[in-house]
Amino acid sequence: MRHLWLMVAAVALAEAFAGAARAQNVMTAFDPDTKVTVGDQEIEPSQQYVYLGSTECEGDLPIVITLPTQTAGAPKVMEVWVGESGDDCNLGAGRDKGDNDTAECREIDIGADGNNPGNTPKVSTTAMKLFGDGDKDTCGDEGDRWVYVLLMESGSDEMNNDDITDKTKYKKVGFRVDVTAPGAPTKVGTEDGESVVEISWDLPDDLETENEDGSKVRVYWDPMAITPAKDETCTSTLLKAGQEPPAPDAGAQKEISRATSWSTSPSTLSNLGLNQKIAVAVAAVDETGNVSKLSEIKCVAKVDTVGFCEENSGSTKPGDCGKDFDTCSASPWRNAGSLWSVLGLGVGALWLARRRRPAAPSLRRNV
Amino acid sequence: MLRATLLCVALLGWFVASSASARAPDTFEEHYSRPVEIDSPMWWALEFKLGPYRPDNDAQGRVFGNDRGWLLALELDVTVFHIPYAGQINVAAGWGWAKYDAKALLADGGRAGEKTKLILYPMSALAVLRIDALARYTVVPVTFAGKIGYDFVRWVATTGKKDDADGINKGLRWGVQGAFELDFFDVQAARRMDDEWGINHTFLLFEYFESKTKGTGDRSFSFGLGMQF
Repeated sequence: MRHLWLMVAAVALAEAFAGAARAQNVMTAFDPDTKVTVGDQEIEPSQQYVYLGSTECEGDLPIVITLPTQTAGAPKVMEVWVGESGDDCNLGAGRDKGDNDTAECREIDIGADGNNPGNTPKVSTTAMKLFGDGDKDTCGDEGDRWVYVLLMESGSDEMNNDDITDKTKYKKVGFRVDVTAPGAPTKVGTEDGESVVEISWDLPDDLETENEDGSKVRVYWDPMAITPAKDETCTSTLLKAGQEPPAPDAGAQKEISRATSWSTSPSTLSNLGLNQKIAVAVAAVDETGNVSKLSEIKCVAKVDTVGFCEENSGSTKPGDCGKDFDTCSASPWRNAGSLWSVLGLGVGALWLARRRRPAAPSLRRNV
Repeated sequence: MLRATLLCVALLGWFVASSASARAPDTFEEHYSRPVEIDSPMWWALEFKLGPYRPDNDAQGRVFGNDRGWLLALELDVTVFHIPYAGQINVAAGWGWAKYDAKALLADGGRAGEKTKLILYPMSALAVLRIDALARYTVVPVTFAGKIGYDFVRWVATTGKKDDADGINKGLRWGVQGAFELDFFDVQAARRMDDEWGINHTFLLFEYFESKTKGTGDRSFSFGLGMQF
């Protein structure tokens, strides 16, 4: 018996450790009281990383890290250190000696050295400054980085950073550099329809491994490539398979959450007319925002379809479903079936509840 | 000899001791009357049923192929008369749901991307004769029921995002049912269910029925679970 308890305790302990480890792995980008903006976009604190794609790395997009407003104390000195790897910096030993190698971090000169009480400490920089290692014009190698913003009392012992590993002394922001565009979606298919058309595809492998919430798919169509549905060919001057997607203002597009199909009304696709088709293509967007090349080009058409009623009646007259079907002129009947079910179940449940522990059972069996 | 005597004494002692532990009946009633089982009143029955169903109309096969759907149904019976030593005469209301969908046809015989659907809500008003004499007065836990009434089948047809048509088809409905009562598996549990909830009997059922509504009718069967309360 005692062994059993020991085993239970061991399992519980192991689970507790595993839970703690799991919790540590899920690291958010920054503390909730720290605000990060990239360009004019504020990063959600719930996001695991601040993502830097090709747009952020190759451009000169400002990155601003804003710390909580200083309410009291002496003027502060701010330092920014950038981790070279995914591990934490050893800021204590490295900063003491001014040794970047020991610290496993680089100090970035941000030109900000004073923050008086009442001020809101702010770091304004760019991805290139943070990760470009001075002599590169990009974000450097892909991977995860950490940026440490230190705020120390001027002239204090903290400047000599004996205890800088104390996590209350700095703010840490996680960045993920990913400039590689995902592969293009494959196996694009279309299904024609009258009130609904569908476009489907397979996601590229590199998108499959990404966070489901972050990655997306963009469907493009060419308003200038509308042709009769009976035409054999399907071409577009705007959309080219394997090429860069058109600029947002060049063609019509719709970004949807990560999925493998999109159903829409033909009127969404440049108000497609009956027996007309339009060229469409798909591109994948990873969670960093990198956009893939275009998929193969397919055409989807608005065509006349024959539904159950039309097939049964042989008539296209609205509301006619054939001689055996009595149509209803009053639409309030539409949901009558559901209404009956709810009423029936409600009455049954009430009756059962009322009959629990019958107060005066009859002596006569079942009567 | 001594051993035999000792054995006899021991056996006698054991017999006396064991008979002394059995309590004699206190009263005449306790000795001669069996416990009276009092069932709660039973005026209702509820059935949940599931079975294949394929409406009989011209286009069903061409549009929906071999889709036999699933007809999900429930029925609530109210007893209007208890037939002594035979069963009950009930009136009942039924409700069901079945859905058929397929890609819509194209003029050339192919299939489009959008779906065409036919949804049925069969609703019925029935007279039910339920015979449970076998289950009540013998050890055979089987009951029978015959049903006849009128069906109102609410139907809705759509294609893609278009509502094609909707309406109600009406016609005769009949059915026969055989049911296997579950009470005998655990009599004590069945008693407790009656005491606590007023559910007198539960049963597994098989029903063969026909809806003679044109276009939405079919002759089919269903299995299900029912209770009388």
